[in-house]
Amino acid sequence: MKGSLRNKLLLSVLLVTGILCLAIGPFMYHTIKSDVKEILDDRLAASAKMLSHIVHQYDVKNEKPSSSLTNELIQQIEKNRENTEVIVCNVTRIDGELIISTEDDNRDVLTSVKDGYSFVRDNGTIWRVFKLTEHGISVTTAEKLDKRRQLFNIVLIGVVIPWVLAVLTLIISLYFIIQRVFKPMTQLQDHFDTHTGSSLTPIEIDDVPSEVKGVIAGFNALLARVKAVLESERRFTADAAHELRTPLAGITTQLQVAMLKQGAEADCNLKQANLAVKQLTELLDQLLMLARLDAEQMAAITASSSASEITSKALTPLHSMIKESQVEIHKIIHSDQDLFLPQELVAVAIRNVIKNAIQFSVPEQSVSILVTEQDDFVTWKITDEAGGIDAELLPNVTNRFVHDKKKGNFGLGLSITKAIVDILNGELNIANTKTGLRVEISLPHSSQGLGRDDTFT
Amino acid sequence: MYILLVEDNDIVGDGIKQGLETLGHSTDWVTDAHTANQAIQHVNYDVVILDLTLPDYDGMTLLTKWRQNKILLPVLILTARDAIPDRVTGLSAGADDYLTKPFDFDELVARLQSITRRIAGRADNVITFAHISFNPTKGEVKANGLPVKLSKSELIVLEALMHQPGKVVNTEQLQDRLYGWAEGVASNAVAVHIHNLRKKLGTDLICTERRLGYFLAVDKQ
Repeated sequence: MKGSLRNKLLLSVLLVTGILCLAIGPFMYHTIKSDVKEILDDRLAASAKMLSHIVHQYDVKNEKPSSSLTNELIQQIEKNRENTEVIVCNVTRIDGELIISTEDDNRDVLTSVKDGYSFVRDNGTIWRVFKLTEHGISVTTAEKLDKRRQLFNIVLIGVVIPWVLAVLTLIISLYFIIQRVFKPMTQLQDHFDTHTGSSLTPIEIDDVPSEVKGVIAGFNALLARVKAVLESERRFTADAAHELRTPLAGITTQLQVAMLKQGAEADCNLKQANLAVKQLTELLDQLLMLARLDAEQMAAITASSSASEITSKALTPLHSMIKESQVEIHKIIHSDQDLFLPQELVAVAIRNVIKNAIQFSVPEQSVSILVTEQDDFVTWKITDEAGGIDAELLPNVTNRFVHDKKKGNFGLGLSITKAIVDILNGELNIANTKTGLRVEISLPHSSQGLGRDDTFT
Repeated sequence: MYILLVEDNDIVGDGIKQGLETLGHSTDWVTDAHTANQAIQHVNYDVVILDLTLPDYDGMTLLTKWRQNKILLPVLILTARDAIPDRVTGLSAGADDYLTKPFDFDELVARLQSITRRIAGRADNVITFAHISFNPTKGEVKANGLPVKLSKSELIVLEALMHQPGKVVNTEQLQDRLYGWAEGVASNAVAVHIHNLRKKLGTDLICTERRLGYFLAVDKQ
């Protein structure tokens, strides 16, 4: 019961109905009682008036009372004895002469009262009495209180039973209505109960109200997003494991083969193992950088610099690679604007692109770096002659571990570049040219509008 | 053993090839599925070490294709994919064994020997013929119970002959085992090794089938 919206609503409805019944019940009881009393009293008074009028009319017509009237009335009363069990009456002249009475032994009760309404107790029976005196005639009508109560009870039952039935019908109807209204919620709850925390199956419930439909749609969208993220994480973990295991296998194999050999024969294996260690280190560095970029933990100090300085910073660690590859680097910089960008990060983003271009080029091919200005953006355009990327691979080339297997590498460099460009609110465009690949990195002049107080941590 | 190694990573491939050759196993190393497919059409290998992540197409696809074409060559999958579904898929596709990277080189060799032993229907690693016993794992040869010192090339030729006693092993096959597929070799190199083996193990052990090759004389067993 605790916590159930449906049960709370049911309880509230029952509570309100109960309070209303408790409040209305006494009021209704008293109203009915008062109305019944008034009606019965009116009936006593009307009976007395009617008798008084009949006797008076008869006296006026005949100038004196006649025993024939008495006889007629007595005959009528005797005839309707059953009816007169409810109301009794007594008619006397003002001097006490009895004209007529329905009762043989209650005459004292009927004559000793004052005019108007009163209660009289006689032999343990309580009577409601009405006495009317006019035209020299006293008419007394009386009714047993028990009979009145019986009448009241009949009326009360006649009113209360339909009322109670109506209230019960209302409660049962409300129960079923609430059950029906809450059915989608119950189905939703059942879905959550039957599905474990690891289930990412979308919720499918038919005939739901628009409010719940919105919640379900939102929840399903969230589930789809979580599923996509989990799938992406799973793929990333599998790819990372694969890429980490391969250089590890290279190291262990080369070292074990070196142990099989002797002396100088083992040197080449040790060199190969060392190369594998370097590859593994590079891979780990790239993975760590990606993890830091993902978590936005990359502290990068923004300072005033130029496109030329950043480009030189990107190229410096590649000097030996450029020399070994015999690839020509052409650098043209058309930018003298002061840039307020995190130099280290931008240099890494550019370096990854240049490094790929050199790695995939053959001796005497060239890589050109062109830096231009447009509006508030600075753009590095890096073009190579290495044949470009497969058209199928191009749309996903910034995804992690997506790479041309024929060309080697890990497939993380462009992912890191993309992450950095995104952080700096820039743009990354990659396209094949006739002879190779063109990568454009456009960044705003300043990263200070990112709201990270000159650093993003 | 004559092994085809299909591995696209230079360092891993180089290490395995050097290690296997140091232990006296002839190894041809290719780096893509297409070349691997060509190699097995032309050379009679004892076993294939197959990486699954290859530059042109997946190693699993290559293996499935081989099995569909009734190529029953023993295959050991050597890959970084370590998930159970990957192992199940690999073995279901027709692999004889599955080893994940990084691996112990001794284990790789032991598994290769296990596969070839199972295929040959032997209970242990020692191959015996007539008065000769040969342990490929240790590279040991005994004649009448006494150790005989053989060169690596002589061991390769002897192993090839002992795997199929009585059957002719042609000269090209022996050359492939000695010097690798698609490599040039001196025309009389095999004949020199056969001559040396006869000298060390007995002149009537190895017979010559003129213009075809050599075989172990079954009547001597």
